[in-house]
Amino acid sequence: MVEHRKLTIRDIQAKKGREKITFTSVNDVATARIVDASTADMAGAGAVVAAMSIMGYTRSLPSVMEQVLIYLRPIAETLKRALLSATLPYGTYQASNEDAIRAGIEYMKAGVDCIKIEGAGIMVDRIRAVVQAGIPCMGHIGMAPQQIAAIGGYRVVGRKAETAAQLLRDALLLQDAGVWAMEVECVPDRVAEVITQRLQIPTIGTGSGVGCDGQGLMTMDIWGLPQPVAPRLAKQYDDLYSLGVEALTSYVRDVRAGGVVPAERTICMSDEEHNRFMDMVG
Amino acid sequence: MSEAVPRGKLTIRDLQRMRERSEPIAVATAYDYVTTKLIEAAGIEVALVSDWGIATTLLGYRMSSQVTWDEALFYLTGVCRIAESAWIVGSLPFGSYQVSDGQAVRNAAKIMKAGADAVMLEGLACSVDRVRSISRSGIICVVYLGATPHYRRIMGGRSSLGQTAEEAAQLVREAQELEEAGASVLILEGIPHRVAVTIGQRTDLVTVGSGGTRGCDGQLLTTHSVLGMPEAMSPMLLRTYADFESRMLTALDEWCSEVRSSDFPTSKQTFSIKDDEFERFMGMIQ
Repeated sequence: MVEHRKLTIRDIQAKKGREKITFTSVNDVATARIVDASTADMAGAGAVVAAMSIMGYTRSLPSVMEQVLIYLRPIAETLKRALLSATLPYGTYQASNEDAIRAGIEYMKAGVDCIKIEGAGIMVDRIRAVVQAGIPCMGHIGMAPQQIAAIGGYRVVGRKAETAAQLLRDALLLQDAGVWAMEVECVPDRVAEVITQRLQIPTIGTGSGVGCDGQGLMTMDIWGLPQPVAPRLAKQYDDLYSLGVEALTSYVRDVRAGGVVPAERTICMSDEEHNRFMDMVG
Repeated sequence: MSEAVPRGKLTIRDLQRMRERSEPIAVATAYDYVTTKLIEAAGIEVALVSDWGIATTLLGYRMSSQVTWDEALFYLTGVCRIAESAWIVGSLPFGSYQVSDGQAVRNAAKIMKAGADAVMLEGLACSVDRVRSISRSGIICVVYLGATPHYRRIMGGRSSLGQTAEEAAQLVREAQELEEAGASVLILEGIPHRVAVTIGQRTDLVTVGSGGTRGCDGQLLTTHSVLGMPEAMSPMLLRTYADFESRMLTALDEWCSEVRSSDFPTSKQTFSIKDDEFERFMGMIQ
């Protein structure tokens, strides 16, 4: 069933075990309008969008708070139905619990419905602090985009029994710290399924199999539009890159032929005024 | 996916040569990775990072005058990082050049430091002085003239200018003054065909038509308009060449419905673990 009001954290949590959750991304007001008109439950618009989709970097790390806030506010105002979750920019939350709370408050003031902090370890403490400060927070385990240097690139996490067991321990610690949902990225399907079963909160998988409570996929991947790093496992539901190049190429052809402006939209001047004008300019 | 062969970076001289050869110049808007890649793949010469587009398409403002300096620079910096061939024009947002010639030069220099090839400002009464200072500082100036956002604001939404002899003669005088001050390109918005032609004949400026203006050296259409993307209140919305909005919605809903029916993801979109490692994992967590 598709709700026509703003979805809440409770609505999404209630879907666990009943209906799969859909989590996609938005870049700006134009894409936010489309996502809000669709049946997607959640939209992400954090560090990845700023650094990669807008600035063209191959990593999410260069995002800074001031830049992300530029588009978060208008996106938050546009989304009347889908729940908005946004990852804090790299460097705004690691150093201390106070930093994390301050960064989370900036995001909440911009209008997000929840923040997301990647990773476990010391982040468990940060997450406990932001949740205690009243800021709803999502967790993110497995391949965390902000930790690709430590992970060793965009790769699968949890193919060894030991790392899989660590993922489960991290997930339980994060749940205990108060995250309301957990993104599980690039984790083997059977491991993600066990994590999903052991958690009371919903899991949202990316490349982690059908056993998760929901799925995450970027709109650009769904639409077949290019990103600075091509995803390994995404499924395209259209090829808008080809359609877009074709449309713009037709436009260029019309420009070269001098025929972009339709006759009925051409701005004209009466012959009488034109004659007076030509007399004036000599 | 195919990529166009990079032709190397275009310059103002390339645009002037196209004018000399009567080869129409294609201009479109760019704001991010996708729009920049798309317009370059289509061979569009000029990428305009317009404050109007940032306002209405990306940030949901009603007017381009609401765009702040940080907002304009953020999107411009991205396009300049991504573009390989297009000649990039960065808008000086409202308020960033009106105060004084010094303010205009300082901010135009910041636009250049972001990686733009030229700056664009609206044709206000102060613009001849600003263009003179900016161009003397070694920065190429594009001036947005005619029924610009500023004009529409003060005229209560009127979207054309120059249909009387007096208005038309005034536009020609302004174009000549801007050329004398050092401008290189004019974007002519909402003015009659024959007036645009006269401006092209009476000046050596490269002219680009927008919003119903024909008869120029080049033509501007916003990329969102060409693609058929949602775009609030665009005066430049003349025609579309694709239906991105409905295609995007259909694709998104198809994905949502496949997720709900567990048809997405399949094994193709899923990572797996070897049986022996999975059994060891299950043994560890019992």
